Amino acid sequence: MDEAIITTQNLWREFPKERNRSTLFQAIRKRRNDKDGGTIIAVQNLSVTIKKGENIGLIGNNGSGKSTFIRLVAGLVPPTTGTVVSKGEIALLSHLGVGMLDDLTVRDNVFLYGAIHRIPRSEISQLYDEIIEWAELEGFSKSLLKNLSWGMQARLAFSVIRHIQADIFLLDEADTAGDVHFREKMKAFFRKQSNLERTFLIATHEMDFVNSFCTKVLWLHHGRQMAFGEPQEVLAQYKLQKER
Amino acid sequence: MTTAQYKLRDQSTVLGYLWSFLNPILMLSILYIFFRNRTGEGIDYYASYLLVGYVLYNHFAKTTSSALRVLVDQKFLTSHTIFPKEIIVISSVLSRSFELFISLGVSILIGFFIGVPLYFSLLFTPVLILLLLVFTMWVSLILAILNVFIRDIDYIYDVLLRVLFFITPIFYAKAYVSGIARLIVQLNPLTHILDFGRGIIIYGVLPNGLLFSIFICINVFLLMIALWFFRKLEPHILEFL
Repeated sequence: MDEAIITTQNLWREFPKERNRSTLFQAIRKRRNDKDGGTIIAVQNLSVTIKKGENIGLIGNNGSGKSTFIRLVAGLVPPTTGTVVSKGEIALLSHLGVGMLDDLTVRDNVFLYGAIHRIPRSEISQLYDEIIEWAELEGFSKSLLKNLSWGMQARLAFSVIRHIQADIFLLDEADTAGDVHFREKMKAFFRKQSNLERTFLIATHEMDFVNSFCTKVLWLHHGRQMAFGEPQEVLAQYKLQKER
Repeated sequence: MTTAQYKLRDQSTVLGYLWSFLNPILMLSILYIFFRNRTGEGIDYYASYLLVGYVLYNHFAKTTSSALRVLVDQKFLTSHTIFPKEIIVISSVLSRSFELFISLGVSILIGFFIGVPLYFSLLFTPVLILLLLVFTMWVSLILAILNVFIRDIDYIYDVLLRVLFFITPIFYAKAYVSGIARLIVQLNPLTHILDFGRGIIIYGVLPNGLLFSIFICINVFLLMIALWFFRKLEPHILEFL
């Protein structure tokens, strides 16, 4: 349990201020002049060690660097400086249902979403009925995704990703989707999974969930680490800062 | 993912496929009527010559055009998932392969009805499909990644495709052009793919083994380069999407 599964050292990530796609002419001119429009620092000097089996709550205001930190750990963006090392298979659950297509049926979307999350087709075939049952979408297999409500789509997406075999789960505000009943089901799943020594890194604004599920909390503010430790302690500090 | 993209297009139904065939048929009819007695003079089985040439060019143009936009169109998938992004481009290209397979089958059938003999060289049709696939793939990978960073690649490529239509011997024979125009046509990779396709489907002729092998090797090499280039720029995709 003491084995470090995610380690970051002096992690720093900047983004250019002007992130617009340029025209070919602008691209050539920019290169020649080598003009810099300035940068935004999304994550600065972050050094944390996350151990196997820990459930880390990532909190902070909008724009505090939570999503960038998750993307850095996922390897979606490289660090500007510093290092991030993770051991094991990573599953990124950012915005439930991303990649599912409105004009395909529920059945096709189950296979597509499974493929996006690297779940073998044969496994999805075997689990198909269970996936539909968990999502409470019996009888909707042939319906087009666009005819389902957003809550139903979120249930379907989550029902598929329950079957991802990964060591590290990165969740970027994925727990805000759906109604109360669905969110309870989702949290029950997390609790079950955390017993299997899986590591969770969850960016969220739901403090009750952080308090009940997370073993540690990392608070970010303007990309800086404000606190990293016991949930009750960090949440109290965060609350205090918000009240000011 | 390939299956999903294929199902999304109307080609997954017979009627949808017929609709997508209407545009090329109309284009081919016009080309046939206007050029049969001009650039088409002296070309055996000109209708079939036109058809095979247009099917191959059209596949290349349509596939690369849609692959060019796929990373930007599927922006959320590109920026919120951790699988290699080249898979999105590759599945976009592969999803059109079935369409090419059908189109070539129809071309062979039409050729047969207008008197083109059936040669053993037809057995090389899968090689033709594979070669076009490799060529289309490396062009698509480069275009798709460039389109993430440069927004007018789309318009520039549209113009280039129009130029490509005329520098590819679709409705004329290579012998019809001379001088610098001939050189440009010869340097166009699509010219050699069309030559190969027409050779095996209409004239029962196989290409020079050595030259053809070199051509395949160059395309495979360019595919590797395109993949390397794509992966080199991939980490920066999120800065622009």
